[in-house]
Amino acid sequence: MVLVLAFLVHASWPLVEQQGFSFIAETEWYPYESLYSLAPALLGSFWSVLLALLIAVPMGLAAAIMSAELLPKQLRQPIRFSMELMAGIPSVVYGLIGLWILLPLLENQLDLFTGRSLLAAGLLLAMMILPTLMVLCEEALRAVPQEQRDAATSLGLDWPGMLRRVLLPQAWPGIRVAILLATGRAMGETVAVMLVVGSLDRLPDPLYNLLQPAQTLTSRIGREMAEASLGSVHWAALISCGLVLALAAIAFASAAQLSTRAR
Amino acid sequence: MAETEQKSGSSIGSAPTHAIAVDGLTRGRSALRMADETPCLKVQDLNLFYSENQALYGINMVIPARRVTAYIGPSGCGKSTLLRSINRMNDLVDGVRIEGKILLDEQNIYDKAVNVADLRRRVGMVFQKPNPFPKSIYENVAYGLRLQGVKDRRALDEVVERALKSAALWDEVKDRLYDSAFGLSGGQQQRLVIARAIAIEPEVLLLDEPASALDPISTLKIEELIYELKNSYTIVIVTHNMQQAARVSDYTAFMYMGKLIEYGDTNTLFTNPSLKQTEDYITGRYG
Repeated sequence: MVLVLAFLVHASWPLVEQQGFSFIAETEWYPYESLYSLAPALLGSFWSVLLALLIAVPMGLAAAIMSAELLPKQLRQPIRFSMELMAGIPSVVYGLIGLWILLPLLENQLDLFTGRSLLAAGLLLAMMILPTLMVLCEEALRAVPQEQRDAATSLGLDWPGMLRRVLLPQAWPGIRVAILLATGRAMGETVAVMLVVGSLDRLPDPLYNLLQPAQTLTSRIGREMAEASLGSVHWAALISCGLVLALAAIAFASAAQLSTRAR
Repeated sequence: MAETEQKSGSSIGSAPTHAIAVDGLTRGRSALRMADETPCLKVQDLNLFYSENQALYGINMVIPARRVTAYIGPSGCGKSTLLRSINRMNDLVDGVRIEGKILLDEQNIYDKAVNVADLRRRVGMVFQKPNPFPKSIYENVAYGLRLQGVKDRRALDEVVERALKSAALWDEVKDRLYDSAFGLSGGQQQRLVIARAIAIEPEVLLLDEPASALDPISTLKIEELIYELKNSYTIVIVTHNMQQAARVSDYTAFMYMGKLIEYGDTNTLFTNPSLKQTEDYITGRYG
């Protein structure tokens, strides 16, 4: 891990030498004019991941509650199995589904010039992290001991009350880990996002505009790495995108680890 | 085969040896007569099925108010199932079907008009394994009241103190009310759970093998507590331990294979059972 970070820092150093640390805040990324900035892609990553979480967390949790608490036991195994299958599908396949179904849908429904956008990326990411979220949330809910449910029931709590006051609070450490892991996955996802995000290096206008083509850190690396010459500033700039991603991933993994331990 | 039958048969005639031991435990208790009691619960023709399997067969019994009634019988005889029917905990089991009635103060608890949450507030329950919530001692006891929307701090303080005193736990925890309930010993946790149940002032308290996971000293404390609590609550207890049933209960029901075999005041049932099957069980011949 240290080696990986050391490599990333070392390899992105030429960028710092050329531009100082202003590259983080700069808004322009034009490799042909040697302008490199992380801001548009950073913002793109942020929005697409946030959107994915806003959609997938409630859905995944609701599905987990359905499966763990409401559906008959016979259905649990097949649902779980199909969720695990979905989690195992290669991301490029999701990307193709996005191209084929999601983009035309957005174009038609929202009357857009192109469906390639942060919205598309967010929706696709939501779809991709949903199975993981659901499986982990379901495990967290099922881990609440029967004794606790009995206690709640015997005190006159009805099912919604038990869900709100006993199940969710007690499953929360597990749910939190699920969210952190899903965030990490969404942040690092490359190919599928690359196919639908539009890869346009510019800050959204206004900053919260999710309907324009945009760029994320991963999609930028995926698209431009082959064009950058080894050791150039462009190359270093792309590596720095990877560095930011790696740092964020470490932060999330550590947070997940810490909250598991706090349990 | 014939030999064993003869053996068990012969013990009916002779004075039952266990009677002496039990007599020591129950001595000094005034004679109880069901006819003198105020009925609290009436179980009428109760049949219960788990999917295709019948677990209870035509149970009929009257449970007197402010007495301790014990259910005894071998594992799987339906005593816990019967207990859990009284606050409708069985409703939560997949594929359960119930016929018959249980009347609490003359109202059928299986009537459609009955609010199950209200019923469970009137019929509290304590389980085999202590199950405090992962909260402070105080919040555990206050839990039921908070559910009812009580926010007034002084009212909560009062109830918590009263419930913990009733559960004979106050002196042990009064200095650490805001510590986690998980820091208590098993026996203390079980008394905490009893305090939690009585904080909302139920009429009936169901105890499902409340001492089976506890050491002898804690068990003794729970038994003393039960003895105290029957002044205020109707108590129904399921126990594997016949000495315990003899010690704490006023009435005892012996169940076997989902049927109520014999039911009567504890003294009589233990010293002079009317059925050979009951005697065989309480003398330890099977079960």
